Amino acid sequence: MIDSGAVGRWVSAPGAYDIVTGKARYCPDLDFPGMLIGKLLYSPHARACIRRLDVTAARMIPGVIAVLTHADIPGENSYLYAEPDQPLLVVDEVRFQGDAVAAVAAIDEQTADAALRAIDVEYQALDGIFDPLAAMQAGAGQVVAGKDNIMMHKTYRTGDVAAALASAHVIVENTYRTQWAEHAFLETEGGVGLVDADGGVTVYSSCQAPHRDRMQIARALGLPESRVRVITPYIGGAFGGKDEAHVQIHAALLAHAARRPVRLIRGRRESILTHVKRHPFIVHCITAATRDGRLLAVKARAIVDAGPYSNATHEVLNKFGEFIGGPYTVKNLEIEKIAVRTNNPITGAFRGFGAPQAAFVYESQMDDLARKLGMDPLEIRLLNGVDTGTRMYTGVVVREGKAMKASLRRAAEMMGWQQRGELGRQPATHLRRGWGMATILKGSGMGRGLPDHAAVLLEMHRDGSVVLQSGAADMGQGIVTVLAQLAAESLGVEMSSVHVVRADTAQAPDAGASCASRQVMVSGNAVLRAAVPIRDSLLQVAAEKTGVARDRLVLHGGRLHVDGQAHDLTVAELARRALFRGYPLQSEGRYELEYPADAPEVTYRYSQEVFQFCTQIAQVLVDCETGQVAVERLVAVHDAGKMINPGGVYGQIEGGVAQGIGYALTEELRVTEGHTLNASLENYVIPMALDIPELEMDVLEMPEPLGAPLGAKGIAESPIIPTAPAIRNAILDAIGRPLYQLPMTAERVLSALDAAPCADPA
Amino acid sequence: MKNFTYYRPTSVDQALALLDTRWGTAELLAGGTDLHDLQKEYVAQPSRVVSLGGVNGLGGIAANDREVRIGAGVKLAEIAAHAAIRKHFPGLASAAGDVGGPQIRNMGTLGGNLCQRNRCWYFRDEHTNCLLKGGQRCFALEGENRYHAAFAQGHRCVIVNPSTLAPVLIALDATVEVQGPRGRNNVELAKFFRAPTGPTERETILAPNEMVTSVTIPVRGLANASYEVRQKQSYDWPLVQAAVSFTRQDGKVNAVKIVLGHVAPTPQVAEARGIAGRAVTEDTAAAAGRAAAEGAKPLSQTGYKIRLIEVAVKRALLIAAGQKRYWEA
Repeated sequence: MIDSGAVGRWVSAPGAYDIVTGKARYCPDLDFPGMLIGKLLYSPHARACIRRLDVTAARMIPGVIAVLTHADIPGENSYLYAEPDQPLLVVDEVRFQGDAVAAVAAIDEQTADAALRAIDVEYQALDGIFDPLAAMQAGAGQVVAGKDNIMMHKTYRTGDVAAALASAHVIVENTYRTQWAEHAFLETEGGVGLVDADGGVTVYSSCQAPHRDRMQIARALGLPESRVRVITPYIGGAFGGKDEAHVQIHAALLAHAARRPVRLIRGRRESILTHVKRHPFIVHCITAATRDGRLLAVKARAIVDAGPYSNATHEVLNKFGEFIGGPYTVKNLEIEKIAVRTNNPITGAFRGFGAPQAAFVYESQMDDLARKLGMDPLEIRLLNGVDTGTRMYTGVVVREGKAMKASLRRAAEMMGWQQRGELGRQPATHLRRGWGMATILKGSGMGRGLPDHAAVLLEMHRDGSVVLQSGAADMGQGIVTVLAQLAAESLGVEMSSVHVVRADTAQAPDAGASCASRQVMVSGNAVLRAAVPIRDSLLQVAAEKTGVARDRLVLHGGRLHVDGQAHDLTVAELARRALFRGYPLQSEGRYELEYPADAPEVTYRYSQEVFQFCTQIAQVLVDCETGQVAVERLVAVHDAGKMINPGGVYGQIEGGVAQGIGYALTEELRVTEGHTLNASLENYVIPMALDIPELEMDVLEMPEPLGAPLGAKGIAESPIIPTAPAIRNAILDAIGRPLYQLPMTAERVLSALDAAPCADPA
Repeated sequence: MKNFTYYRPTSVDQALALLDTRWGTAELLAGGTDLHDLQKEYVAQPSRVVSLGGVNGLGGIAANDREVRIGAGVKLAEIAAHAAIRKHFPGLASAAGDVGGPQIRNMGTLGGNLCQRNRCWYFRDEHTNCLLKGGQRCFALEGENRYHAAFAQGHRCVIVNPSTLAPVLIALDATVEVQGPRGRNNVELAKFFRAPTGPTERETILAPNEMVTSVTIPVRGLANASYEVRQKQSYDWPLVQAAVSFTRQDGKVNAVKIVLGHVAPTPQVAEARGIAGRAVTEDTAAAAGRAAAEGAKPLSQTGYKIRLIEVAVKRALLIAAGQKRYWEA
């Protein structure tokens, strides 16, 4: 299908020049005549009753055009795409620091600020529930009146765990803790609402799911979806943090009330306080193996602090459970999943969707197991790893799994795993060097039983230029580039001839959310399908014009080729002739990821069946005097199925590993009694260029049968997943002390060392 | 941000005349890297902002063989790059060069670095009415205090002084020139800082209507250095900083000064023991480090800083003595 040309080449992203020169327009850059500035009011209490809410004084301020409370919402005052249980504007009780109480729109920032300060709210502070373990106890009180604090409690079992544990030669049993983590996207959340002449609403939205935003905005406004249009401008990162709607609904409500354009952009502090965080987990895990290192059973119990509202908690915890056995053959597995409501920050989607927490647990367990057995970490992984045809503990049969072991072997080779000690384990008195690996799997796509489709509209004009309408949001991950490459390749034109319109619900069909590493599979395949009838028209004309049989004709680089030789006829000329003849040059392509129904053994609900496999190996240097961990080298070997844009693939790996190093070593929101203290990038410590080593990367291409014909698997999430456990295992190797809590800050490494001072290298 | 009136005087006297006898109503604006943040968060709500950008006489570095005088308005980047400072006071050059990132160093000034407000996250939260904002309690004392004092004894407010230039300047016996309504006054930098306990006090001894105009450092051929333990390589504050200076003769050191940053509400002058009259080796430096940390009284989450003080002092001494940096592999 694909021979050469645009696909598989390092290409420059359309718009790259505009982005780096500051010409690209993001939500905060948008300006319209008469535009107002919107702002939201939040409670200073994590939990409080609202005794009085009086906006009269705010409405009197000159320049204040709209002030909204819950009473002013025309439609439904609740949102969230799965279970809409979070109020847009609080009615009578604030349940976390990010609950909005009122919204204002004014002629400028200062006036909007003044309006917020003029709103008279009498709060009665309430005792919050901040400890998820306490919240689970009887008599804890309810975080949300009428709802059990235990939001979810499900257990999944396969095999006979008790019998397997009884027969095990070796067991490791540990409790792991992970932290609230922040996406820290460059562009904070934002939206610009406009009211159309006919009363409809247009919203520019910094989001991952424009069509789903449209549904939520329509619901809040009480309008049919046909009257709401969502457009994505350039978007400065999301990482799952813009999967759920945020201020774009409030921007629409304010614009609708003010009858003027309203731009609402969250400040950095506001952003950190209000949007979902990566779920903090407490996981108790038992892993059992035979004397020769074969895994017998995994038994785990996970408790997550969800915050007061559902967001993506069910789904994240579900994915955690789906991957808790890792990329290993485990016949006996039990995972108990508990989500608890508290008055802490809300939690939801974040790159990896529960898989990073699971990987921290299962890959730490593997190294603890290897140490107990005296096995090499590489050997125990190769021994237990899945392969093509392996039936997973979820019942899913791995269709393409060669990359599991291939990535392990390749990463070990690149790191020099067998010779690793030669560099010196103790380069100086107080320094210890260590090596650690982690290998993971991560599903792509929504999962069996969930809708997972995308459509695109493709049209070639008489000059041979191509326009592609896709509803897939590009938050910087590069789906626009990939779709342009595929369209160019399929239609035999240069990539510069293809214009991909950034997602606009008035023009593009729904592609679903840009999440779950899915867009390249679904929208990519949709482009291939859309191209077929257009290419047929062009070749038909070409065959008629040249008198050469269709099967000897190829379109390539904007020109017709006959038997591989360039012909005088250009694609533009063919397009002009095709239109003249009335042949179609417009097409919709639709693709749905279809799971074959003949798999009754698939027992895990919504299981994903396309797997990104990868291995990362870290070399760290621990300063035993300060506890500081420097990542000296990091090897990352990833399976992308089929690479469309190698630059994008390597970029995703670099970014994911950087984010993973932060998750491993420094990033942690400090939340006390529901208040986030480090709601700034001053104290929420994300690594910067100087803290990241030059990464050593390789990409394997094992085309995915389920995502055929394209064969791409997506690469957005897997890079962040193995980084933390690889570093953890490297620290263990360096200092001989295991850590069970993220992040592994200098303080925690020091206290692990205090338990036993720097061991002499083995 | 609350609205304010912006003034741009051209002389120190004009600037002083715009200040108030109470804190909070008027603020001096130098580089703005701290003040504007505080204003945006409504922690600072001045009605007058007095820019120092047009004031004559605050710039310039004047160096001769007796002393180096640095104007309060000199940018941190200039200090880090200045030839005489790099030659005589490498500890100061490295401390200035390690502040924030290039943008901060190109805006931030010497005077601003010395007079900036503390970084306590309770103090910087608009809704937390802590001791320094007229409230009844210090929230860090019982709360989240990992970035707070390790020498907390006797303090009602357990902030750490944020200046990373101050410990080095104190170790170098610098003096600071202060101007106010009663004229100009030279103060030893070691006596310039204080531990504030309420809204009528700040981190320095300045009165609300006084300002810093320059800092003077004597040139005495002291070996000196500064070492910071931080969480990341750029754009970060130290967890602990140690600045040291000493004289050297026949391979032995004397007149050793050790000043710690980020461990107490003021730069902490530590007792230098176990090293005077001896050569700087890993052992003697480590002993001095242990001595410097003696007497620390950490909070619930700052115990780890004791270890870091020991290490920072040891490493600063080794750097000043030109020894091998054993911690760099």
